[in-house]
Parts: sequence; C-alpha cells; structure tokens
Amino acid sequence: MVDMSTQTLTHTDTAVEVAGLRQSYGEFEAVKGIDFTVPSGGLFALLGTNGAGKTTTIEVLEGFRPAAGGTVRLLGLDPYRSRKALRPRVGIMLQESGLIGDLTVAETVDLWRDLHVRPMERVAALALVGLTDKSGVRVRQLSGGQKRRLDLALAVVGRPEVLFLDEPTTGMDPEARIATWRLIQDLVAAGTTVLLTTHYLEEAERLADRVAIMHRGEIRIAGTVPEVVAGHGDRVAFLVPAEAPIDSLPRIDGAAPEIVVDDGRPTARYTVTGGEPDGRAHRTVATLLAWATSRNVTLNRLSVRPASLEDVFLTIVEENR
Amino acid sequence: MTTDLKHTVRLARVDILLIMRNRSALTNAVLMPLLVAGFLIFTARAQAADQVPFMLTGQVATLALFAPLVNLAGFYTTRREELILKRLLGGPASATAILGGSAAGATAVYLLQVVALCVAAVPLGVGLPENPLLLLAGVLGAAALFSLVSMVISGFSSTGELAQIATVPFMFLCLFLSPAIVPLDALPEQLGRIAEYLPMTPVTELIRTGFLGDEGEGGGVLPNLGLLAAWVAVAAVVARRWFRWDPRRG
Repeated sequence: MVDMSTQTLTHTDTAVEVAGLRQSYGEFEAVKGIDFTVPSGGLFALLGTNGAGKTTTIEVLEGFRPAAGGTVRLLGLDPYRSRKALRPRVGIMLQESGLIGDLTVAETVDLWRDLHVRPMERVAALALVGLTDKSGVRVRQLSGGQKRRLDLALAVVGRPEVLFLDEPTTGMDPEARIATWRLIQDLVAAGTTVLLTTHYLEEAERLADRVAIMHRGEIRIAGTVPEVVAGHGDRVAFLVPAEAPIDSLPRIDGAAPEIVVDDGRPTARYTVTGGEPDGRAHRTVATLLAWATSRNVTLNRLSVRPASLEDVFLTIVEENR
Repeated sequence: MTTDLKHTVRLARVDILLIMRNRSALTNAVLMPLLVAGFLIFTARAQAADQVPFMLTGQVATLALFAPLVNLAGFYTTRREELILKRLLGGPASATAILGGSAAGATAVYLLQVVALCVAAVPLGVGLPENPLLLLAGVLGAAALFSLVSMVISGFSSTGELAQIATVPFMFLCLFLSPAIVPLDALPEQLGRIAEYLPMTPVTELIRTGFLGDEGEGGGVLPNLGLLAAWVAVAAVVARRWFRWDPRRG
C-alpha cells in the first residue's frame, strides 16, 4: 500500500473541471470545446488517436499553457495562473522522460525530494517502482522501461493529490507494466486523483473509473467503461471453416461478417446490435450453429464477448475517417 | 531561505556537479578559458610589464563570456531539447529557480575563475583588488547579463552545439568592441564611440576600476553601473520574449 498520509487534504470533491476548453495552434483548432470532470480520488483515462488533442488538454491542466477558451480548474484553481500553489500538490509524468543522464538514479530522486516539502524517503520511492537495485546507476544507462519507472517515482515522490500520467507504461516489460498498474491502483486507493492517457486500451479498461475518447479535438464518448461500451453490441467470432468460402458465410440481421486475420487464420466476426442485449448473442449463435449444421462444418474457436473499449475506439475512428 | 532561493541553490549544485563530472564541460567551461587568460597575460608580460594589470583585468571580464554565456547557452538548449527543462517545470520549482539555478551554477564557475586570477595577480605584481565590492558588482553584473543573453541565443537555437556556435559573433563583438583586450582609444574614433555604449565596456570598466582602483578611460563608476543595469534590463526583456521551454518539433 502506498503511504500518501502526509498529502494535503483536498477541499473540493471535484479534482479536475474542464468546461468548454478550446485551444488552437494558428489556424489549427486542436481542442474544440470539451467538457469533463474528475472527482477527487478517481481515475480518469483520456484516450484518443495521435493528434486527437489529448496532450494539449493535459498540458493545459498541468499549467504548461493557458486555456485559450473555456475554463479549467485543478483542485479548484486555475492551473496556469496558480501554478506556484498547485505544483507541490501535483505529480506529472510526461510522455517522454526528460531526465538528466549524467545523474545516478539516487541523485535524481534526491534532487526531486529536495524540491518538495514533504517527500517520501528515497528508498521508499525507489522500492515503489522496483528500482532499488539501480540506485547507483547513471540514468543514461537505464533501459527505456526503467526510465519510465524512474519518471513515475519522481511523479509520486512528493505525495501528490493529483497525478498526471501520460503513457506511463510505454516501453515497460509485461511484469513492470502489471507492477505499475498495481501501484496506480494503490495510489488511487490511498486517495490520489489520477488522470491517465494511454494507447493501451486494456490499461484504461483495467484501471479507469471513467474514460473519454477524443477524436479530432472533440470528446466523442465519455463515461464508465460499461457505459461507453453499452450500445456497441456483442462480438461473435469463429475461424472460417476451410470447407466454406467466405462469401458463403451467413448474414446476420442483413450484415455480412467482418473478416480479420487472427493467428494467421481468417476469422469471421459479427457485430451484433439491436434487440435485448441478453438475447441477441444467443440468437446469433443459434443462427450460426444452424448454418454450420446444414453445411456439415465445424465452427472452431466460436466465441461471444461484449464490445470492448478497443472496439468502441476503433468504431469512432472508422466513423470519422 | 525562501523556497525559490532554496530551489535555485539546489539546482545550481546539480549543475556544478554535472560540470565537474563531465570532462568535456570541465575543460571547455573551466580550464580552457583560464589557460587562454593565462596565455594572454603572460604574453602581455613578455612584451611590456606595465601591460599586465590591463590584460589581467580584461581577462577577468572576458571570462564572463565562457561559463555564463557559451556554456550556458549550450546547456539551456540541450536541456530544452531533451525535455529536462519541461520536466523540471512540471515539478515544484519555479521557472525563475530552474533558469536561475543553471545561471547560478555558471556564475559559481566564473567566480572560481575570477578567484584564480585574483590569486595569480599577487605574484604578477598587480596585487589584490583595491575595491573588492565594486569588482564583485562588475563580475555579478556580467554574469547576470551574459546568462540572460545565453537564454536569448538558446531561444533561436535548435541544438546545444548550434547555440554555442551562435554565441561566437556576440563574443567577438564583446571582445573587440570593448576595452577588454585593447584600449578603446586604439579603436577608430567612430567605432570607439559606439563601443563605449556596448555591454562589455561597462563590465570591463567596473572590473578594472574595482581591481586597480582608478577609473581608467570609461568615465566613472555610476555611469558604468547605470549602463550595465540598462543592458541587463534590456536582456531580461528580450530573454523573456525569446526563451522557449518547449523543443521545436515536427
């Protein structure tokens, strides 16, 4: 469990408030009037394609640039104008590390500790991210994943009330990624508000209380993961039988299957929407089994699952291509 | 100690550690300028012993062009491009403390070099500074001015190496249109008049007056202090306008 006991009490129930945020770079409108809130102690994931406006939004919240339009509040304050008051209460992990290569890991953490008022012990911070044995190693000698872990240690060493994590697990091996997820969950359990951006949708699905998917400067959908995936149907899939040509596969509710390659083999995938959620997958599977029986073929790896965050994400991107 | 000052000192300590740890930075920022200064002083001594005070005090001023200008311009630019400045700005330190920390580190290196020349001045027959406070005012004023100029140059440079190269024209302007190496009256008259108002002239005059105790050719302490303060103010305004925290991408 992460000890965040000395963090200042937050005097607001909403840690992050964004209303009508607009941001432009010359003629290009990067953020087109978005709204969202993050309650204190929540974990909010901002998702989107490259260039969707996530980083611009996060940088406004981090106080790196003023909002061109709309209002933004972090712990009740304007993050740009009240930077001095907010920075000791906020931890930031940028998308790229920005670490001093000639310092050792221990010297880097000590520098950050000395800039904070009530920091964690160096040993505790390094233990949190599994870098205890790298204490005396120069930062430039760390792997990409280890640098990300050090960056995370620096983001949390000041016991922040709000933590911004921009692609936190990029470059990490699976073990480090799972350990980082556990750490993030511990931080949230200890009361830290986390705003996460990630390209790993399973990461958002696993960690976030609420998500928002941005595309071309707008939030296209937002809510809890079940709310976001609701209405996007179920996915029924099976390996295309060798004996059945693709164009012979049945249509369900008038729609032909999408053919994707899974493990090098063609897989038919149906998106089933409409009707009662509990009944539609059953109906589809029954139709497919009847078709297979009539053709005397076997449906290998037949599976049914609800839409995932990735499905919703891809649908939004496809619809707006 | 205020938080900003505490952060500035902490960041300056890191910069000094990095200079001492990096052989190339140690050579370029600390040793080479001292060697060049030593060479010029001993050359002057070999030609005419009465030139030593002029050359030594000119070199005290000239050293301000190395750590606080050339090295700092490279330092700021490299750190911006490697996102270190942005990473620091995302932490509790203020922008002033982050930039001031590096400037303070460079100033400490410069002060160390000035002390080395002050010590060398005794066996060279120049003696210790007559007015150490005025000397310090000149040295610190020079460090402040050239640190700000390094921020300006960094603002339009895309790599640390290019930033260091970009300081060269300004360095030459400072060296040859000031009384640092040759007296102003040795310059063509029109050029000499212009040079009187350029930034290196009040720096050199204040340092020379502080060291030697006479007011030389520069026309008094107060006007030189005023001129240096004016150049610092101009450099601060331009640095604020030109300095960038974000690397230029794409």
